[in-house]
Amino acid sequence: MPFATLAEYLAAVDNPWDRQIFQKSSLTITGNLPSSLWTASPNAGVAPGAAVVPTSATAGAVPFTNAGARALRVARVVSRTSGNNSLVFVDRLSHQSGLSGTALGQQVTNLPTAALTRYASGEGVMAALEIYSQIGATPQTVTCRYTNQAGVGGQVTPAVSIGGATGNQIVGRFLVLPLAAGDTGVRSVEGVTLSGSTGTAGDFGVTLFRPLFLVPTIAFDVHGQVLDAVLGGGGFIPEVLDDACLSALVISNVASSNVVMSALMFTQDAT
Amino acid sequence: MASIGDLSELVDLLTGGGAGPPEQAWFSKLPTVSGGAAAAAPVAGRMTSLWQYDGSPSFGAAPGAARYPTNATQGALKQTDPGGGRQKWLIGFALAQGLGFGSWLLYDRIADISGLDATNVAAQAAALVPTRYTNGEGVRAFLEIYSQIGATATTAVLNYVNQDGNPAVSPAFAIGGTGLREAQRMIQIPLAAGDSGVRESVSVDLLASTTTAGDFGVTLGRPLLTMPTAAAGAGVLRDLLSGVPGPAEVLVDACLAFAYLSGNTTTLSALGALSMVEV
Repeated sequence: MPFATLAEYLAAVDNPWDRQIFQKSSLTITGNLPSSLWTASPNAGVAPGAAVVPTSATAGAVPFTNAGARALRVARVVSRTSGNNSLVFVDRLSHQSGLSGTALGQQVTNLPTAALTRYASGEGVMAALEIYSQIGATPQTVTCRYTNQAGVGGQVTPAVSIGGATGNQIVGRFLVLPLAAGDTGVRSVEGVTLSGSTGTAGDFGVTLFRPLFLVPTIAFDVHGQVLDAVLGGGGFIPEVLDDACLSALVISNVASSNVVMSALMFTQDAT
Repeated sequence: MASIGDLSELVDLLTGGGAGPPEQAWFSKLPTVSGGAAAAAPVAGRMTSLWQYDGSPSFGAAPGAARYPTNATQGALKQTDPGGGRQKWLIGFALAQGLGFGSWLLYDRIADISGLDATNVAAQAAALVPTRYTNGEGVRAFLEIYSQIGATATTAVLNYVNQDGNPAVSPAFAIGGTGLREAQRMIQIPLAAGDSGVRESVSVDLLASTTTAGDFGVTLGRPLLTMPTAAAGAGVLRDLLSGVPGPAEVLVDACLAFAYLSGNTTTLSALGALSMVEV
């Protein structure tokens, strides 16, 4: 049941269902472009290989405890970083790897993506290409064939840049894919096609994800960011579904993800 | 008109206790347009329309003939309409972007038209009669460039109907030349003295040819929120209940779109969300 009063909410925050620390050491990333902290230490995730639905038990995920019948939410976040960046916490819904930066023609290795078990329609689900092992320095473009939120297959994403020395080749790079005209979500991805070889095979894959909340850094290392979703936090208090694979993306102004440490306080909705 | 009575009601609404569900509309914007073409680089101090930018939901298209966009229009944020006679309120905005910094403008794109020729010095019809904010109060007019126009700087005026229903002519504003000719450029059209809104757009008059026809048009929009980014790499989180300008109503059928007043020339890449409740 929802929180009927502020007092109920504050009581739940004062006695949170769960507390988890999300701490990551700095990764070399590309400034200005989203990167994934999935493989950053500690509690590093790995390239998934075969298509799979990750959960809270997957190495790399925030290991929170399911709330059972009542909705679970991240109500408060205390975050500090060593540089200007913003964190976007996401639920990783389905991922795979094994795609090559040199393969021509449509790649279907470890595709289609595993069927969504959370947000199964694909509405509001985004797709990205995630680099696990550096690909080549020859810039190319990439498109993906996918099934949209309405179950219509054969949709093709507009081309985006991949590879090249502009930062679209390094580990952690998270290329959020645009959608075809009129689409609002992704249910699955069936194929990936490069316009040409980047020069190095590397390893990259498709990640389907649902953004949940964002922690902006106002000024680095001056103070921590304390956010309450209701009290000054803009009302961003989405439900965290059972078994959600919580991880974070980072967008920074420098070639470093910076050290980040966020304390996440989970509340359980009222009885 | 309904209102959020207190913080208890807010908490109830945000956790699903209201008659209508809360909604967080996430979006991404990439530095390409219209299905993969490179976006024109932002110009410091100039406004860029993000309407055609690729991302999720998908990019928007140039309107062509007069059009009255809604939340179903390609390019809109696609938020759901409030039901049961309720109102929808924007109460929060969050944004992450990298090297760029500047100010984002969230607006309801209520009418647009394109196909105007930047070499034509005769009055070019740009008739728009919106169906939201019909009295025109607070509605702003923009000149939006979809295909680059010419390098010759000149000026233009917009003939319009003001918030009182009276014909008016905007002061002359600059168009064409570097910084005011690129695709995705969005030029704010000033209003005549004493005016506070645009009820209808009528026509555009160029003083001279810019020497390249390109493709441009008029967009009418109702600003809802501005979001400044403090520094490159810094994110934005706005709580509209505790900060200015306060919650903004998102009308039924609202076509939510963005414009960006850049502080530098860095191409835009962003991920963000709007938080809304129904009352």
